[in-house]
Amino acid sequence: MPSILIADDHPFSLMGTKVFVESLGYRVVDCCSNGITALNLIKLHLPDIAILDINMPGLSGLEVLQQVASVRLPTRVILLTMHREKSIFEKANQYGVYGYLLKEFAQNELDDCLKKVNQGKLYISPNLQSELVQDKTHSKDGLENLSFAERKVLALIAEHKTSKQIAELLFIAEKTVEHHRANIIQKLNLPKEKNSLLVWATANYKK
Amino acid sequence: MRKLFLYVLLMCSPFLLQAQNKKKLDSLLRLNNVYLKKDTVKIKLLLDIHRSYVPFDSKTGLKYADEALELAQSIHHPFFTATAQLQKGQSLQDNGKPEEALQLYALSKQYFESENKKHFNLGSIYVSMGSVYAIQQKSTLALQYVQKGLDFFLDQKQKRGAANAYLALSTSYQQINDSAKAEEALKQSEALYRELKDNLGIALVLIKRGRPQFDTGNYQRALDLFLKALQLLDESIYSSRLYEIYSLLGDIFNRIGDSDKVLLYKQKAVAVAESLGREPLIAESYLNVGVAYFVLNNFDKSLSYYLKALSVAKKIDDKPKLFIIYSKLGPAYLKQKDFEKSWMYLQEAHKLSQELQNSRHIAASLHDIGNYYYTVPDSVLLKRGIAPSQRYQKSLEYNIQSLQLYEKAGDRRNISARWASLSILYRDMGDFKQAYNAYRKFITIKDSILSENIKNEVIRKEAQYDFDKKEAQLKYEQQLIAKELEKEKLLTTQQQQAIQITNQTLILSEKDRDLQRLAYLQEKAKKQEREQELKLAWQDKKLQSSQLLALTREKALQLQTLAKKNALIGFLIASLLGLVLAVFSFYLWQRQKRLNQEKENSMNFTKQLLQNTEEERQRIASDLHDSISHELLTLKNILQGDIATVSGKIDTIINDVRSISRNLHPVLFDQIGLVLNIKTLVERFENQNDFMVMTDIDYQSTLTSSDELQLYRIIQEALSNVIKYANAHAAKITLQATEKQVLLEIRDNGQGFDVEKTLNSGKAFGLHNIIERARVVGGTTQLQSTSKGTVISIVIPQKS
Repeated sequence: MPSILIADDHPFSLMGTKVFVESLGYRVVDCCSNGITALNLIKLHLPDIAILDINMPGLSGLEVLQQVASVRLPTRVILLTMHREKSIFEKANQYGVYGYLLKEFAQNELDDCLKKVNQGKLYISPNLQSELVQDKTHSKDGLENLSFAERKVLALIAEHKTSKQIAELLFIAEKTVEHHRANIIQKLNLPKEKNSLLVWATANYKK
Repeated sequence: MRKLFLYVLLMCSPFLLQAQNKKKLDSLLRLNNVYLKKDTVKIKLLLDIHRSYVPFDSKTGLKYADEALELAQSIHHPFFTATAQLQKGQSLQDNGKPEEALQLYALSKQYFESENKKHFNLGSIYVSMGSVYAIQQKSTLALQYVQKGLDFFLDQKQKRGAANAYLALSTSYQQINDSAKAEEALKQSEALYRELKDNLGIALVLIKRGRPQFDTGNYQRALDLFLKALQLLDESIYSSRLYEIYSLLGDIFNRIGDSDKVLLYKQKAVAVAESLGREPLIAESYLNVGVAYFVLNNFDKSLSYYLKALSVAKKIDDKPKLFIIYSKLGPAYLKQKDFEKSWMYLQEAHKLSQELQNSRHIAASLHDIGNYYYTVPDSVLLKRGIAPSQRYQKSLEYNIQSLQLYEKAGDRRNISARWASLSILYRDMGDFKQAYNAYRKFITIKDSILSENIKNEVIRKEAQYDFDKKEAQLKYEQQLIAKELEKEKLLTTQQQQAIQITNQTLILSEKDRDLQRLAYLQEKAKKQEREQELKLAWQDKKLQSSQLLALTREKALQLQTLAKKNALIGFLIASLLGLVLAVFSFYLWQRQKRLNQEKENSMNFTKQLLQNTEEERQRIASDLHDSISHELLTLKNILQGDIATVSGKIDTIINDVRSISRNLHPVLFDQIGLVLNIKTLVERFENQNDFMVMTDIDYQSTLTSSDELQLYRIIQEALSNVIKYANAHAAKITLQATEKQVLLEIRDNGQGFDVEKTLNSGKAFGLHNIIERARVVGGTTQLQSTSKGTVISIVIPQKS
């Protein structure tokens, strides 16, 4: 049975997590309520998994993760947090986090997460992923497949701009524009004829 | 009358200070040029000039003593003849002719002993004779005469004479190796000189006291004394004493191993020697500077000084010095790889050393030649008729010969050096056993010398410390001395002025009489003239009156034109002044306006800032109220209901809180870093506004987290401006950090705006916000806007 360490500065949260994890049948080797102790305990016990909150006094969960990654400790880190920011998740991902859970969904997801991580797989809260997607504007014009930049390019093509003009207007290289054009043609399944894109854009694309 | 004044002047002269010696000399020489009578005054004058020359130019001095003596003999004045004989003798002695000096002293002594027993010149004669005997190594006689002179001066209570006598006495004691008595005499001498405030004398004593210390290796003490002496001498007046001190200081620093200071003092010595014009000193000083440069590995300079020394030494045919120069030139040319010249001088040195029959010199020239064979390339060796295979053998022979000679002379330092070179030679020849033995001998001798060297090293460190300390003290004391000198100078000039004035009054009183007579005659003549004039005047009056009328008319006309001219010039100046004033006041007005504008802008900014804070609070308050409390209220109402609905509601609340807090401050900003934060910001911005923002970021965190936050806020502000006003297609953010600066640029291709006008409108809070934030992080903001777009660029210089 894998050994687990839990760190959270909120006592209720800490105890709740501990009891919950134990109820799932895991062995909790130690608990603590600040980042520095957490790092020291990880170095001391070398648990298989560490469940860390991000906002903690001393060191944040993110910093503990960074330290664990930089000295290549074998412990796999799961961040359990209220933060739903993409930037934080990306930073954690850079540091090699194994699991990223939102506290509000922990009750449903923690079991799954621990199993995955124990097998050496990544687990990212599906709710987080939906949030990341949700950020984007939903287009209902059949252009869902196009990237943001591609839609911008398409809009300008509809305004009869040349590739060079588009490049200047969007502060990108002309080659990039050509690249986008090719992608759009492919994604929209347009015939590979001259001006096919221009014709389609003028006909279909309205701002 | 004039004669008396000259006398007074001359009598004061010996009491003038050393620093004024030169000035005094100048005035004496001037007097000498105008005073052409051949009488006792002239002799006195010449003798005084001689005395002034003694401390720094005995050669020129000798000429004046000679002239004085001739003059005194020609007018048969026994006192001055004897005095001139004494002084000429002293100069001859200084110029290295002790025998001739002794003859003159004897003549002078005869006169004073029989005719003028109490005159202090007699004491001087005794002392001078003593010092000549000392030069001739007749120490008993020397001691006898000097003691006699000393007794005389003590008897007569002549302090200066006694001081000189003690000085000479110490030299004599030194010669018979009675250093205790010599030291005692020096102390007496120094005390007397100090009483007389004779700096030159004290310096002399100090040099004398330093020399034995230097010879016995007590460098620190010697350095101490020499520096004290240097302090007493006026460095602006070149004298043989000054030369002596400089070259001694050079020697000391050489022993202590401070090559830069060696060069400094040796060069100073050159300057003194050159201005004194004494060839032996010049040759010696050139040689010394050459050696100093050689030690510093500056062979070009070293050679040029050696060659200079060579030409001087050849002129005076100073063989020992010539040998030294040759023996320096050889190795120096060898270093320069001029093997022919090197060979030539090595041979010259060897020849001369044998001619001089000095075994140390011979030894030195031998190992120099050995070293030559060791160093030169094969081609040169062949030219010398030696097979390259014989190279080491040949070098070895010379070195062994040299070693034997040194061993005979018991020169340990050179013996150890020879063993070292022998060891290298044996090694190169492949005879390692011999090499080992030679090296062991080298080490043994070196070790015994090394203990001395360590001692010297300690002394050097101490000396350096003392030297630095002393220099500071010296400066302070020199300032004090300078002040005193200034005072005394003032006093003497006042005296001289007083004398001049009396002199002039005397001349005037003579003139007065003549003048009175002249005046009387003149008056008479004038009376006659006047009578005649009166007659003539009466006749002329009529004519004049008519001319006068014409003249006045003309003058009035001239005055009028002049007035016109003046008015024009005045007008021009006034208008010019007016123009300058106008420009100046315009400038001031502009400045004031600008300042006012800036003040108003900053006031507006503060006002806006406060207002915005208020608005921000209001927004947070309403956000909290509208969303959170509202949601919580609904939650409370449905709390009994379906658990899934409750859970969903709570999720909404959590998301609301998230979005409120995210709007307030980017979460975990310092841990996420600027770059990722900008990217997130841009992405969200693009999605929210359907507006494309390109980023070009080349930045590793070089700024502090709080500075980074300001940049983040600037970008936020700028982007929000672009969306609100620019009507652009896209924007681009560039962030580049180099070693010198961080550059942040936000560019859009919108419609642009009038920068100046907007900034001063009192409404451009966003722009001012950007400028102020940039200022907070030490950056400067540039705003450029045309109809094709706007560029905001911020440059923050990096603190290294």
